[in-house]
Amino acid sequence: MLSIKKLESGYGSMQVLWGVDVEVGERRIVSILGPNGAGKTTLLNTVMGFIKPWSGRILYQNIDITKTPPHKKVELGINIVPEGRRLFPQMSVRENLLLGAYNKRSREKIEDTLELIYNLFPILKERKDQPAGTLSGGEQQMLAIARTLMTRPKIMLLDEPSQGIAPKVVDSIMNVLDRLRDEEKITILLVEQNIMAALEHSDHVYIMDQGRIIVEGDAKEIVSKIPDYLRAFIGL
Amino acid sequence: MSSSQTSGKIFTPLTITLIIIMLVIGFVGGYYASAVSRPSAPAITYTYSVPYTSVATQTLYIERTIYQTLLTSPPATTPTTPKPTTPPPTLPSEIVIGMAVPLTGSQGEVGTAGFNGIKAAIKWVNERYGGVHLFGKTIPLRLVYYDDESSKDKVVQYTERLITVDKVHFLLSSYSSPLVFAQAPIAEKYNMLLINWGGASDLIHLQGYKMIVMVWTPASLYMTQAIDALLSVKKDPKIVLIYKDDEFNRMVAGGVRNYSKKLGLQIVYDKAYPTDIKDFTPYLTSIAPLKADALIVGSHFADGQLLTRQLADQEIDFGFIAMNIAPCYTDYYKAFGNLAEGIICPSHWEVGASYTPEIASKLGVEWFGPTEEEFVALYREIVKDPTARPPYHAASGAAAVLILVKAIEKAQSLDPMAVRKVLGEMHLITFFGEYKIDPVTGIQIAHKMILVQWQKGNLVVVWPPEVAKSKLVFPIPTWAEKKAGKQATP
Amino acid sequence: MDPGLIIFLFLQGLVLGSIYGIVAVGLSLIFGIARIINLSHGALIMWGAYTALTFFVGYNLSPLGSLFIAIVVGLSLGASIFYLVLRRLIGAHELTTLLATFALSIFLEEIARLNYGLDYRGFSWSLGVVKIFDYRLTYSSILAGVIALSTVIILTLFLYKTRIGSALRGVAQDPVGAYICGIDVNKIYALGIGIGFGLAMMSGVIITMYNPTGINPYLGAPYLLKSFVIVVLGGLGSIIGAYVGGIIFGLAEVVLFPLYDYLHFHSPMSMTLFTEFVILLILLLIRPYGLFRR
Repeated sequence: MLSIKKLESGYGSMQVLWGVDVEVGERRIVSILGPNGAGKTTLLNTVMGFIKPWSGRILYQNIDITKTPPHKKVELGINIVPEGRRLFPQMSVRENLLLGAYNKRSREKIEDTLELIYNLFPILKERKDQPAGTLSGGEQQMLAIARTLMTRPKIMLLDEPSQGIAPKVVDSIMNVLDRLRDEEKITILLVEQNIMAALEHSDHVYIMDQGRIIVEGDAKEIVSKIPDYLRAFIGL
Repeated sequence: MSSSQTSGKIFTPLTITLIIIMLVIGFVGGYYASAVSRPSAPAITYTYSVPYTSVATQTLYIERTIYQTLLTSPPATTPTTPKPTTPPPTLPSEIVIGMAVPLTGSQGEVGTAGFNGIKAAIKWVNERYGGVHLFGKTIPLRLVYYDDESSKDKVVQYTERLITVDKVHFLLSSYSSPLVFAQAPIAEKYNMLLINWGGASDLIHLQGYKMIVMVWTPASLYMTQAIDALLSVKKDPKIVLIYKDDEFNRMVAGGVRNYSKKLGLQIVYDKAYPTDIKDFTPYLTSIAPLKADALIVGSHFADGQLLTRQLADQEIDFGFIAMNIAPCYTDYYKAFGNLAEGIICPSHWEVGASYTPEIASKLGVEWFGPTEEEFVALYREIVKDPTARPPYHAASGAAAVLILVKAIEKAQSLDPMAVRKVLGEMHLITFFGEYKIDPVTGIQIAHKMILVQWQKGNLVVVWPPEVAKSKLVFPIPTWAEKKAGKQATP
Repeated sequence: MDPGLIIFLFLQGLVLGSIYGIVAVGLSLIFGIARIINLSHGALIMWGAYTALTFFVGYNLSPLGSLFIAIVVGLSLGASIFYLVLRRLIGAHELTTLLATFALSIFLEEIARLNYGLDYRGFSWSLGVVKIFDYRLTYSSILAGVIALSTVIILTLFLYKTRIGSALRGVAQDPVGAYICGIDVNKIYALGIGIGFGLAMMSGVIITMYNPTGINPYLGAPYLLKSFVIVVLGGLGSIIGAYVGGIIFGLAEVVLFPLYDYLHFHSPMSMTLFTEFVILLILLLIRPYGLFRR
C-alpha cells in the first residue's frame, strides 16, 4: 500500500531522517514507536509533503508520490491526522467536517461519511453546532480523526492521537482505529508514544531512534527485540 | 498579552489613570496648539518697515509678525565688509556658480524647470550680455551642479562639496523649503552667499543667517495681493480663511491674518484643516451660513481640488475665491471644466505677466536682464522644445542669476560679504519682477505675487494692475450658474 | 443646533465611513488569510483611482464600469504577484513580507508616475445632488457608500455560504488543516490575495465616485495609514470589523467636528482625528484584539 524507501529530510540545513525504510501493507495497523526527537513526526510530515524530501522515494499503490503536493495526496486517498490536530477553531464541528469533504471524490459520499462518523463518535453529533475551539481535548482528537475520514482516505497517518487525552478516551479512539481497519478497510500508519496502547492494537511495529529505523517486527514479538538502551525511553 | 487581560480586569486604577492623563494631555495640548496659532494669542512682534511703491501709487508698510515660538535666534546684524578698492592681482577666467538641485525625486520636475531657467539666464549673461563686467573686463559664468535627488542628506553633502572641493564663488539654492532649510547652515558656516530662489518659507530667513538672500515672495506674503485685489472691488469684505495645517500654509494664513488686521478687515472664519483631509463637508456646513464675500484658501494640490469639488457640490457661493497652488495648473481646469471659472490663484510669475523696461522706468527702478521674449526663447532652446512654457520656478531661478550678476557688478568684487552688502541695498527690476530684500533677514519684500484667474477657459493675469491682461471678475458666477455653462467674463 | 444639520452630517458620516470601511477591508482580508501586511494596499487604491480616471477620460466609461475592470485587474495582479513573489514568503518572518509588499508599492507608484506624471488630475462625473434639509449630498457619493456596503455583504456571503469561501476561512484559520481537507492551499492564497488586491483597486474607484479629484501617484499613502488604524480597531483579519471600524471613523469625523468647531478649536478636524485615536486606544484596552476578533 505505502512504501517509504531510503527517505531523508529535515528542516533547513538540519537533517532529521537518515534513510528511513517503512512498508505498510494493506488493511493493517502499522505503528512507529520511539523516544521524543526520534523523527517520527518529521517522517509523517515528509510522507504527506508538508516537508520536502531531500532524497529517497515514497510509493503509494506503486505510484511515485514523492513530489506530489499534500492536497493531491488527499485526493489519492492518503491523509493524516496531524500533531496538534490543526482544526479550524472558529468553525463549528459541522463546518469542520463539511470542509473535510472538499474534493469531488469525498463530496459525493458526504452523507454516508457523516453517518459513519456520527456512528463512530456520537458525541460529535451532539456538539455539531459548537465551535471546534471550545471542545475538550478528546473531542477535538475525535473531530480531527473524523475530519480526515471525511476525505475518504484509503490510508490514514495518525500522529500521536493519544497525546494529552484521558486514558479512557484513548481506549475508545484505539477501538475506533480497529473498526476502521476491519469495517472500512482503511490502512493505518500510527505514530505513538503510548507504547502499550499501540502494541495492543498494531499488526506490525517499527522502532525509530535518531532518524533511523532500529528494529521492526510483529507487534507480539517486537518487545524482546528492542535494544536495552531504548527501553527506558519508550517506557518499557 | 497585557497583565490586565490575564487578570480579567481592564479598568484597574492604573489604566484609568493612564487614560485620564492621556485625555488631559491631548485636549490641553490640542487647545494650546490651536491657541498658539490663533490671532488673539499673545505674540511678540518686531517690525521693520520698508516703504515700497507700487504702481497703484500707494505706500504700504509690510509688517511682519513673528510669534515667539518661531524666534529661535536674535536678529542678525548686517554683515560689515572691507570695501574693495583695488582689483585683485589676478582675476579668475570665469565666475563659478555652484548649485545642488533636485533633478530627480519628489521635487525633480519643478527642480528641473528651475534648473533650466537658471541655464537660460546664464546663457543670456554669457552670450547676449557678454559676461560679468568686472574691472573693465568681462568674465563668463560657469555653473557647477549636482542632483541632490530631493534628499536633505544629499543637498547638505553637495553644498559642502561645492564650497570646499569645487571652490565655487557663489551658491544658488536648491528647490523647496525643506532642502533650502537643510543647506542654509552649510553656506552660512563658510560665509558663502546663497541666493534662495526655491524656498518660500519665511522660517529659512528667521534663523539668524546672514548670507541667505531671497528672490521670490515669501509664504507670508502669498495672499496679501489677493486682499489688495479684493479691496479694489469690494469695500469692507467678509473673509473666510481656511488653510492646510502645514508649515507653508500656516505662514500664508499668518500673513493674511496680519494684513487683514492691519487694514481692519473682518475674518469671519479662520480654521486649519489636517494635511490628509478626505472630506471638507463639516467645514462647509460651518461656512455656509456665514454668507461671506471672499474665500481665501491656503491649499496645496489634492486638498485644493477636493475643496473645489465639494464647494461646487454644496453650492456654497463666494464672489471671490483665491486658492493656493491647485488652480494655478491646467489639470485644475481639466478636472473641473467650467466649474473652475473665476477661481483665483496667486503665482510668482506667468508668461505674459512680466515686467518690462518701460514699467521699470515708470517706477524709477533700475532694469536688468533679458526681456520675457528673450528669456522664453532661451528657455525653449535649453529644453529643446519650441513650444515650452516656462513655469514660474524657471523664472525665479533665472532672476536669481540676474540679481547675483548685477550685485557682483555693483560691488566690483567677488567677495561674498561685499556682494551680500550690495544685495541688501539694491533695488532692481527683472522680467520676473521687483527685487528688494529686508537687509537683515534677506527676506524678499518687493517682489509681488501676481493673481491669475480662470476666465473663459484660460488663466488670465488680473493683478497687479501694471501687468494685468484682463480685469478681475467680481463677483464670480455662482456654482449653479457655472453648472449651467456661465463663464467668468470681464 | 439645527436638527437638519445633524441628520445631514450623520448621513454624510455614514457615507464616508462606508468608504473608509471598504478601503480597509482588502487590507484586513489579506492579513486574515495569508498573515501578510500588504503595504502595497495604498498603491493599489491609487491604481484604482487612475483606472476610473483613464476609462472616464479615454472611453467615457462611468466609474461604475471601472469598478469591474478594477476588480478583474486587481484579482489577476494579486494572483500573479502571489505566484511570482509571495508564495515563497508564506510563513516567513513578517518583516520579509512587509519588505516585499513595500517594494511592490514603490514599483506600482513609480510606474504610475512614469505613466501619468506627477500631476494632480481629476474628472467631472456628476449624478446630481439630493437635498437633505438645507444641505446637499451628491448621488454619486451615496452610490459609493451603497456599493461599498453591498460589496461587504456580498463578500461576507461568499466567505460564509460558499465552498470556496469556507476554504478561504479554513486556510485563514489553519493552512495545514486546509491541506488535510484536500484544499490546494496555494490556489486559495492566490485567490485570497487576488480578492484583497481587487478590493483595494475597487475601493480606489469608489473613492473617485466620492471625490473624483486630486488623483496622483502618491494618493494611496494616507489611505493606507487610515486603513491600518481602522483594521486594528476592527480586529486584524476581520472583514466585518474593518467595515464597522470604517463606519465608526467616518461618523466620528463628521459628527464630532461641529462640537470642536463650536468649542473654537483652531483645527477642529485635527482634534477629531485625535479623538479617533483615543477611541482606538480605549477600545484596545477593553478588547486587545480589536472589536471583532476572537
